[in-house]
Parts: sequence; structure tokens; C-alpha cells
Amino acid sequence: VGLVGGPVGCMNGAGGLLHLDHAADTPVRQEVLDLVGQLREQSLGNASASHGSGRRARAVVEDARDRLAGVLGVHADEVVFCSGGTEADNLAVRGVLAAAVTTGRPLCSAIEHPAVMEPVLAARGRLIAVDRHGLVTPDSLAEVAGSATSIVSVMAVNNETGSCVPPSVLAALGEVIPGAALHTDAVQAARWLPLAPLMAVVDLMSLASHKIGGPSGVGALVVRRGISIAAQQIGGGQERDVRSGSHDVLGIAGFALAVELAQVEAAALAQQAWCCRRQLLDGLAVHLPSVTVIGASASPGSDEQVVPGIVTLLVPGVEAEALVFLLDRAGVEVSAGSACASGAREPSHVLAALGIEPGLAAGAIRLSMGPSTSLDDMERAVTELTASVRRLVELGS
Amino acid sequence: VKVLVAMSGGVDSSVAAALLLDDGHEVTGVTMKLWGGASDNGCCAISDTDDARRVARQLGIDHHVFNFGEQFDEHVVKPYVEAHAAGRTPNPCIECNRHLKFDKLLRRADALGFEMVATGHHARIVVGPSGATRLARGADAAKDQSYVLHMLDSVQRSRVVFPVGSLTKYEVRRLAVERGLDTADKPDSQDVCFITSTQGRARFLAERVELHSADVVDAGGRRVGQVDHVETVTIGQRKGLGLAGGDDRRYVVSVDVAGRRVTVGGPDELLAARQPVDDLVWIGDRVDGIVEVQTSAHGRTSQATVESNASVEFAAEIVWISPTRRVAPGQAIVLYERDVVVGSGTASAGGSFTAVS
Repeated sequence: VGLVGGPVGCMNGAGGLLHLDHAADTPVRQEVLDLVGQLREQSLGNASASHGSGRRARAVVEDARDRLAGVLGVHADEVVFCSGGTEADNLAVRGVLAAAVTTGRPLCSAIEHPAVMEPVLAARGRLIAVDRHGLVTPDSLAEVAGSATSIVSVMAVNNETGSCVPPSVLAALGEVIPGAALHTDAVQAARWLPLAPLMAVVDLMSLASHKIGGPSGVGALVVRRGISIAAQQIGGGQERDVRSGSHDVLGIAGFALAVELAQVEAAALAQQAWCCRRQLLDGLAVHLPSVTVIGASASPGSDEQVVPGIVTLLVPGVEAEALVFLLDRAGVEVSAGSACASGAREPSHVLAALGIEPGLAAGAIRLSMGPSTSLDDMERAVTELTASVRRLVELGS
Repeated sequence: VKVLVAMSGGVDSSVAAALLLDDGHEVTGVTMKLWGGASDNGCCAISDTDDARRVARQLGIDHHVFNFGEQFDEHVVKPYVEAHAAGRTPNPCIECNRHLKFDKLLRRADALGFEMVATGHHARIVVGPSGATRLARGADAAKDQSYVLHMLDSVQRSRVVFPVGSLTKYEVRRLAVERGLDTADKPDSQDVCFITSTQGRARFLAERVELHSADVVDAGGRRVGQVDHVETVTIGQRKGLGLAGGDDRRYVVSVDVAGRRVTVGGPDELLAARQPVDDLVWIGDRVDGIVEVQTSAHGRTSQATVESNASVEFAAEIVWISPTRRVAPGQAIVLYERDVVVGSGTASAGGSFTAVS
């Protein structure tokens, strides 16, 4: 995996509100805003209409499709635009299952996003165990080898831990489970890793726009030719008969541009983020030595593979909810676990699957970086983290 | 003052937040996610949380959700199930106030830098003659919640505020309407929040402990009926006892879970002259004269004096001025002087069961 790194080209940035939750949502890029602004000036209609405005809109959509296909190294007709990562994941799992001839139970890794895991479990699927770094191991491969199933899903980069599954492991999965469609959720990967090598070894890939500087509410499922998939949202069939609903023309255009730019910049961003990660971990080692980090020993090229910009800290003796609150008050935005429908934070199934005991997982927070993240930001993060953690340890929470 | 207001999504806590803002406080709203299972308001009480969030937005204050589900299971649900299994009648609202709202939340508020915690309870904190704080009934006698808050100690009483405690429910709703709060016409919450009205208590318990049938006998030991779940039978109950002819002038006067026996008797046999109590504590000086005694959340009070047990610490007997209904073991017994809480204890099953006729 192309984790380019090294202490060169580290940048410093300005202060202000410190958003370290880029893995949840990252600001829309100026280039995307500009493009969307330009397109708004044009008379664009419903991309399925036959009049001039409709044809112009269709051209915008098809241009975006070509660009996305070009980045991924796939055919344009393999790109299905939809509303985002969750829909793409649902469509992949449920769509393939619905179209499948074989009736085996679907498989996914134990650290998938709920958008994959819940459809898999709802279809009485099985989970593939991961090691403490979040990687699918040869042992777990052997365990599922020969499974009769129509779909296997393993995410490229985990949204909580940043751990990544190299294309070689995905390819190996495909080999030990012949006949199954291989899906990867590449929603978090798109910012950090080249997507084409991943796409080369899978049959389906989910992407989301708002994690990489595109508008929210748009994404894509890439479905390789020859993979049977049944529409899950029906009534119109506007998107290649696999997805119904009028095209979000401006969103799709902005999304495709965002993917292109993210892919061009991925290596440089990773390099910058490695610097920031080191700065953060070094600072924490000094000021908060009790804090441990998932993927702590990871570095570019090491066996323990993580993307640098997603950092999960385990803070003993502290409740993550309280820590997130205090950091928010200090202007530092981080996240903890995932949110349930009420907005409450729920214990992480990902950390549990990594074998992290619940008491420690209760103090887990995630810091995730984006293009604006600088070394100064990391210094500030260390300062605010230290103050907040010390307060909570002292007062309890 | 920086105040954290616990917003349940109901009208009382909505108005509490509004009143605190009126008084110029720095107000932040929080909804505690306590129960992750089914409830009458949806899983995780999602709609209640949404209501609280909407009101916070109307008021222009920050709103957060704290997940205290684990603590709620441990301190409220588990003891609730265990109490029923042991034949006691628990009050989960009291345990929730004791462990969640006025312990966990208070500590969390401390850690996050809040000076006070507010809730929408109908109760008041008053200053007694000695200058010490006391808990008193809310202004609306019908909505008073001091019974389920009796355990607040002096530190807690100095840290909590009940902004609607001096208002009637009518006034609370009127204020909510005047301000256009979305929760103005929301119905009052009822019953145990973690048990759905469709599922019911017996099924909730049956999913967690083994329930047993029991014989229903009269004072002479003669079998007169049967119950499916002795664990859900409470003293004073007169329905669901399988009595011939649906006799509803006979009440449960004692429950023996271990012996699988429920004893019924007439209205007179339900009465007792004295009620044994454990864990008796006085808030301030012990009252030697007559106190008003409340034995259930929305019950009337009866007059009594309190006789301490010389041999067992914290054990005592309530000596009723006139014979009064027996209290189910496990129920809180709260002592008032006029409308001020002066002490409390827990009804015990021990002691003499001298029937009064």
C-alpha cells in the first residue's frame, strides 16, 4: 500500500476552531464550490429529460461518470451514483444477495461500518475475525475459505482505527472464496490511498463524497461488469436501472471532482499527516504517557498498516463522552464511538473486535485529519487533551 | 451561573430550562440516554431526545446527549428485577434519581465545569430555620415529586435547582404555551420508563428471572386462588388473584415469595398499627412528635410517630396514629413535617404483624 512518508514537507497552519473530525465530515473544497457555482449558472434540468436542459444535465452527470471511472480504472458503465456511503454499502450487500443464485450466508469483517454489517447480519451472515490491528489474518482467511456465499465485504480503511487492508489481502480473500462478489467500503480510503489498485482486486467499491471534500448526500457504488445486482431503491431506474431517483447533478459533478483531486493529493496528504501523527504521538508520550494509540507502532511501510490521518486514542480512567465535551468547549472537535439514533454515543464494536477491553474502549476518542491539519494543530491538540484529561482524571466523570 | 439542565423531552424540564435562561444563567441542556431497549416512546426514547433537542434549539441553548445506559442497567434495572425476584416492591424512579440524576450526572457536571444541575422535578429546596437546606413538596400537590427525591443529601441539595417546583403544572404548561415550546402539550410521563405498556411488567421480568406461580390463601391457610407470578404481587393488590367470584374486597396482606404463598384478607386485615422500617435516617434533628408519612409516590400521607429500635441501628417502627395499610417491603417511607422532608426509610417485612381490627 502506498503509504508514502518521511519527515519532509511538514506544514504548519493557523489556529482557530480546530476540526479534528475529518473522517466524519470534512469541509467542501474550494475547487468543488467553484465548479458547483459555475454549473448553477447554467440552465440544467432533470438529467432524464429529453429537452436541452435535460441533455445538458445528463452531459454533466456522464462527464462525472467518465472522470470517476478514469480515476478508478473501470468502465464508465460500472459507476452507479447514489446518495452516499451508506446507500452504496446497502446496495452492494443487499443488491448482490437479492440477485444471487446461491443462497449462502454473506460474509464481512468484524470491523465493518454498520452500513455493511447490519445488512450482512440481517441476512444471517458471518463475521470474519480480525487481529488486534484490525487486519484479516491468514488464519481467519483459512476459516472462511471455501464458503459458499455470494458476497464478501472487507473495508479498505477502517473509519475508527485507520487500519487498512492491503489489496493483496483483498485479493487473497477473493481467491479463497471463489464465486463470491468481493466488496470493499473505500469511503475512508479515498482520501489516503490510491483507489485503482484496490479496485483492481474487488468487484464492488463504495465511495462517499463528503469525506473527501465533496458535497454531502452523494456517493457511488462501483459494480464491475458481470456482477449481478438487484436495485434496492426502485421506481424510475434513472441510474442504470440499479438505482432509482433523479440525479443530483451538481452533487455528482462536485463528487467526481473531489475524488479526482483527493486521489491526486493522497500521497502528499499522507506525508503531511504522518508528520502530524508523529507530532501528536510524541507530544502525548510526554504529557499523557498513560494514553495508548491504536496502530502506535505503525509507520510508513511497517507491517502494522494504518492511514496516518485517523488516530484512535485510548485514555484510561476517562469517559470519552466527557472528554469530547471538554475538548469541544476548548474548540477542539473530535469524536468518540458512533452515534445511535438518539445521538448518544455507543460502545464501539470495532474496538471490541480488536480485543480492546470495554473499560479501556470507554475512553476511546478519534482524531482525524484533513488537508488543513498542521503541526501547530497537533501541538494545540496535545495541550487541550492534556488539560481535559487531567481535569477528568482528577475530578472523575 | 453555569447550569446543566437535564432535559427529558417533557414539558417540565423544557420550562425549567427556559426559566433558568430568564434568570440570566448560562444554560446547557443534556438528555440522559438511560434505557437502550424498547419503551413507550420508541427505542432509546429517541423521540424524547429529539423533543429535548428541539426545545433546546428553540431556546437557543446547546444540547448534548450523555449515554448512561450502563449505569442505568446496573443501578436501576438490575436491582428492580432482583427486588421483584426477592418479593420486594422496588421504586426504580428513586434509584434512578439516587444513582443517575443526582450522582452520575452531578459528578459529570462537576467534571465539565458546571456549578449547578437543574431538573424539571416538582419539588423545592427550602432553607430551614437553622439555615440548612431542606427538600420540600412542590407547589402543585398533585404533581409533587419530593417522595422520589427524598434521598438528596445536603451537598446535593446545595447543587441542584428545581425551577418548576414552585409552579403548578397548569402554570408550567401555560408558560410553555406562551413561549411556543414544542413540548407544551406533551402528555405527562407515566409508569416505569423501561417497561412498555404493551409488554407489561410480568413479561419484562420473565425475560430476566424465573417467575413462579403461587397459591393464594386466606388467613386460615385455606387455598382460595392462584397467581401466575408471585414475584409481581404487591401488598394491597386485589386483582388478578384468581379468587372465586372475582371477590374484590379481599386484598393481599402478605407475600411469601420463597414459600410461594400469597395471603389475602379483608380490608381490616390489610391494616396495621405499626410498620417496621429499615435504613431510617433523619434529615437534621429527629422528630419526636407526629410526622406525616408517605409510603408511595402518589399516595396520601398518614400521621404517625417514629419509634427507634434500640438494638438495631437504623431500624425503627412507624407507629400509626390510626391503623393504616401495610406497606409493601422495599417501598420508600418518607417522613414530612408539613411539606418538608424530615426523614426516610425503607419498609421492611420484619417485625410484628399484629392485625388491628
